Amino acid sequence: MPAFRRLSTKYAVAIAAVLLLGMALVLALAGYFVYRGTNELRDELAASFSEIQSQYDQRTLRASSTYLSRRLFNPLYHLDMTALNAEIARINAWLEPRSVLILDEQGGVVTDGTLANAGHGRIASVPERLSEQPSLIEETENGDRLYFRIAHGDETIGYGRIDFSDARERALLKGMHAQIEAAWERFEDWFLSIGAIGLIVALLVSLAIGWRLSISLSRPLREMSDAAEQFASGNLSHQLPTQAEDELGRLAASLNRMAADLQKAGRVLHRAQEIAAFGSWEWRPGRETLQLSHGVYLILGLDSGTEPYRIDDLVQAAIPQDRDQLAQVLQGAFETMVSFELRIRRRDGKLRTVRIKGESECEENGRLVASFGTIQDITEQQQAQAQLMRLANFDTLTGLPNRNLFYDRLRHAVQKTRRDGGQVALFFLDLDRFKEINDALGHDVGDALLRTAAQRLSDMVRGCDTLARMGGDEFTLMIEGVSATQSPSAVACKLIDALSAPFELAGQELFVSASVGIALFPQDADDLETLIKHADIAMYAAKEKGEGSFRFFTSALQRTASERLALEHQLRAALDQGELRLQFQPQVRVEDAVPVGIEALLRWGDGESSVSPGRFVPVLESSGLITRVTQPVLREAGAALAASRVRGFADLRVSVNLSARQLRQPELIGQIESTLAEFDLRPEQLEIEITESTLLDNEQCQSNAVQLAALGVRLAIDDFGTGYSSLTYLKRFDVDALKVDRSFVKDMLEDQDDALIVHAVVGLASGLGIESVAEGVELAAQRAQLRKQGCDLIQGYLIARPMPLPELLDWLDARPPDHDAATMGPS
Amino acid sequence: MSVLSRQSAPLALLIGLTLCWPVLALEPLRLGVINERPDRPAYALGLYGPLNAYLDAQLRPLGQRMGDLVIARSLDEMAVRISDGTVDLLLEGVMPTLKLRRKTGRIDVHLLVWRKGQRQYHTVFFARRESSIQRIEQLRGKVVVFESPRSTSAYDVPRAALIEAGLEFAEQPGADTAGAVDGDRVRFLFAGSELNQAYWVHAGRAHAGAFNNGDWERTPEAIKPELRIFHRTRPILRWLFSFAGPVDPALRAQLVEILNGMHQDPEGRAALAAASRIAKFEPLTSADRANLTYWDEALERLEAGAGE
Repeated sequence: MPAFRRLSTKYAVAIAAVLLLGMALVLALAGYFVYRGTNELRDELAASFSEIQSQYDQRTLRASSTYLSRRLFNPLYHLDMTALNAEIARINAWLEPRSVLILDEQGGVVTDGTLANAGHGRIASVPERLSEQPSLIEETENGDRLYFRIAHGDETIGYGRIDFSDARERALLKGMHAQIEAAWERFEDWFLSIGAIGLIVALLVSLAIGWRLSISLSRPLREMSDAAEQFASGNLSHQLPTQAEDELGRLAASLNRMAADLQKAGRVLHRAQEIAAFGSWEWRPGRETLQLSHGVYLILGLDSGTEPYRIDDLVQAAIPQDRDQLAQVLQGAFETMVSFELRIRRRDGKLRTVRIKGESECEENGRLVASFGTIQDITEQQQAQAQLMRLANFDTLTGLPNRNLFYDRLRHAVQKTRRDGGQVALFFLDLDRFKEINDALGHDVGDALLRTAAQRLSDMVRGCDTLARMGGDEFTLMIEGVSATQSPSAVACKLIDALSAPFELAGQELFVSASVGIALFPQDADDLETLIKHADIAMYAAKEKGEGSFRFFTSALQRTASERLALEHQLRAALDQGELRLQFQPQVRVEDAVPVGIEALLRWGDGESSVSPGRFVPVLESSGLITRVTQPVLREAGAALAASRVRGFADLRVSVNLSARQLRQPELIGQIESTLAEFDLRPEQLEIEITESTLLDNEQCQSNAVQLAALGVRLAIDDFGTGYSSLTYLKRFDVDALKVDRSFVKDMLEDQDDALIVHAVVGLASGLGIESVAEGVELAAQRAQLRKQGCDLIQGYLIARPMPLPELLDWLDARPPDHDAATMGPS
Repeated sequence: MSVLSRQSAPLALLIGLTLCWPVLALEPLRLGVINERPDRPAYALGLYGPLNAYLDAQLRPLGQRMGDLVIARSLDEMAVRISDGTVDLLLEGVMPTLKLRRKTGRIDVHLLVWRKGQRQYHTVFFARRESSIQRIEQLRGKVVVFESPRSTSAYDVPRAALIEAGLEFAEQPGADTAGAVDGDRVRFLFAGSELNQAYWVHAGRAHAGAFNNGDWERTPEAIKPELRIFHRTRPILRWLFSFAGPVDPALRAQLVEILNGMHQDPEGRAALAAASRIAKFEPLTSADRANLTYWDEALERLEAGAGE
């Protein structure tokens, strides 16, 4: 029976059975057709033989009749009965007829060949047709009858009639049938013998072919089976022969490739375990050693697979407090996977943190079969997680808690306060003028400033307080348990004082101040979000109040903020409905009051319903709506110049104020070009006014400024002297004019400092070869002073108030144009 | 004397043997027959070979041998053979025997032979039953059909009867001349066989026919009723055994004894049966010799007639 379990035997039996069935079927079919054909052939043969015999007999008889006619002529002619009888005797011996009659010309019987000649003289009928032919054969009941003429030439002297019995033919056929039957029986015996031999031969051939095929089929399978066992035992270098090009050969090649891939994968896995610091372990009851993968050896700092690794060695590698738990995992039985982290000391002395996982395989009766699991070095992973934690919760620049951590702590504090009572003070602190310093001195200085400021703030707060950096130059401080000694005001003062001292950075002293907004929980807000918002409002209020101040949140501030929000909504509607329009204030030469240009000033509403630019422009700026007015302002200014040109002031120029946000609009250059083209203006008829800090804003601002200069558009610095200025920029960006801020002009007659500033600015412009424009000139004395100082242009109520375009045109009509004004340079 | 005797002894023996040779080495006897089928010698050998062998076997103890059978194709050839001494014994019918005796003078008729069951026979003349011929004499101018020229009963005997009846006869020139015979002579034809004779007469090819009474008995019944015999001749012995040359009388006697006793010996009967169904040999009686004399005289008349 084992032999039948072998694939080769199964193949052999199956193939042999199929072949045998096939051959047996072919043999049976062939035998059937041969048997049937031969069987049918018997009757056909007999019939054919009978017919052939009959035809042969008739041919023989016809031939014989001719011969007999010649032989019988003379005896009959001489009535030689003896000779006739002798001829008849010869005929009888020769043809074995039933009877022979020699007839005379009238059909009378001459002799029947016997001595008795009983029918002599009797008339026998002779077929008439015989006269037309030498002989004829008639069929009788028992055979054939041959008639032939006995004649010589045309002379017929008698007839011969020979009756043939078909008994001979029947006997012949019977004999032939007997012979055929005997042959048939022999054939049947032979056929059965051949069939039996054929079946035996077919069986032997089938078995031989089947066995040979099974060998050829099963050998590769056996080789593959052996190879699979080799692969399973880890010998992946085993190679299968792949000479055959059939499916088995391709399968063998595939197995070889698979083994090669497995080897490669094994190497990759080793490498992966090395990279992932990962490995597996297995222990079986009764053994003192562990089966460890390559990766575990690497984790433990050992050479891979040098010696069987003892359980105690691994337990002893763990730090003492983890050893018991490790031993339990390695040798324990668990229903589900267990996992814990422990620290081990490698052979090289390094302390590593590893995560060990273990699970068990038990029999049905609960007996432990094996424990196995994985070991992973998670030291770097834990370090990375800690780093991620720091990055997620602390500001990398200052080391202070960031917005996430601060809000989390604030949330806890609010909840605690809500639960336990007490008070939480939230401080929003914003460094004043930090942006200007950062822009002017660079980010490195700005970052250093922030780190120093954070350090100063940290130094003054308690350990239980939370100081955080929210981003940019904004800091927050949360104080729990507000008390008299730790009043918010006092803390705010401390904060402001801490930053009031100069910062020694980049080799210079820098001064910054801070605006602080304070909101208290639960007085100022019921929830975290509201508390934060109110602190922010208070901070903005403090900024508006002035640098270095603090403000508590109040309901009034809330209203102001609300109003500001409402104003923003109204502005959006106004923009949609085109309610913001331009007014124009002329700029005239200080010497002769000839109009040189006009400054376009944005206005909202008329009369009492008008809104001060001081209110809505900051809202436009802070809300970003300011970018929406750029194109309309440019077009309206262009239209005003076009109108002025009609009135004869073709060289008049218009000044348009752009904020930093507007100047860095990418589409600005295109808008200006289209405006110039639309109203057929020369580039120098358009002057863009920007503040000193705008040029310092970012690279896009500077790029657009350079492009404007290249285009030929004038560039004027507004409010010059009120902010940080870089004289290098004045040259770099080809500035055409400096505008003296109205605050200096206003007090220049009384305040010597302002007078000096005005004088310095005008002098600077003169020195740079550019125009100086004084704005806010309201008094003739101011004009005189400015004229005296060399200022080129003035504008203000002394000349004209800002006015709508029609009024401007009327105003212009009242003054003759000066064609030299456009080309007038600084005096 | 003694010397002469020693030298002359072989010569004397040779002379003695030579003188005694006729006694010690007799010439074989040779039996002669005339073949009824001259073209087939084997036919005669088949008939008479056994008889010759029997006689040889019987004579050998007597120091006599039988020589080869002498088969003659005709009477004349036999006569030549007898004349030159080639034939010692002769088996033949009466008329041939008598003719050979006349021709050679060496014939010694010695025994009567029963042949085909007959000791003797006679010839019958027959015609169609409705024929007007009632007597032999009425054959004048008619055509008679004989068997063959060498037939005794169907040629010689009827011719002798015609002569005895005072009729003359001559052979018909053509075979197909029935009814066209002129003159008073009896015309005769040869039919080749007794059977043909009967049919020819029945068919009208001849007015009458003649053969021996045994042939009449064998005439087919199909035609026999339409024929009738109108004349019968004197009987004639059936066959004869003759010595055709000089034979030692003792040997003759021994040979005659052997022949006469053959029918009593089964081997002899078989040899006799083979030889034309011979029943036996027997000595001639006086009546037989008288019969021979009659037919010898008739033969003489025939030959005389033929000579005319």
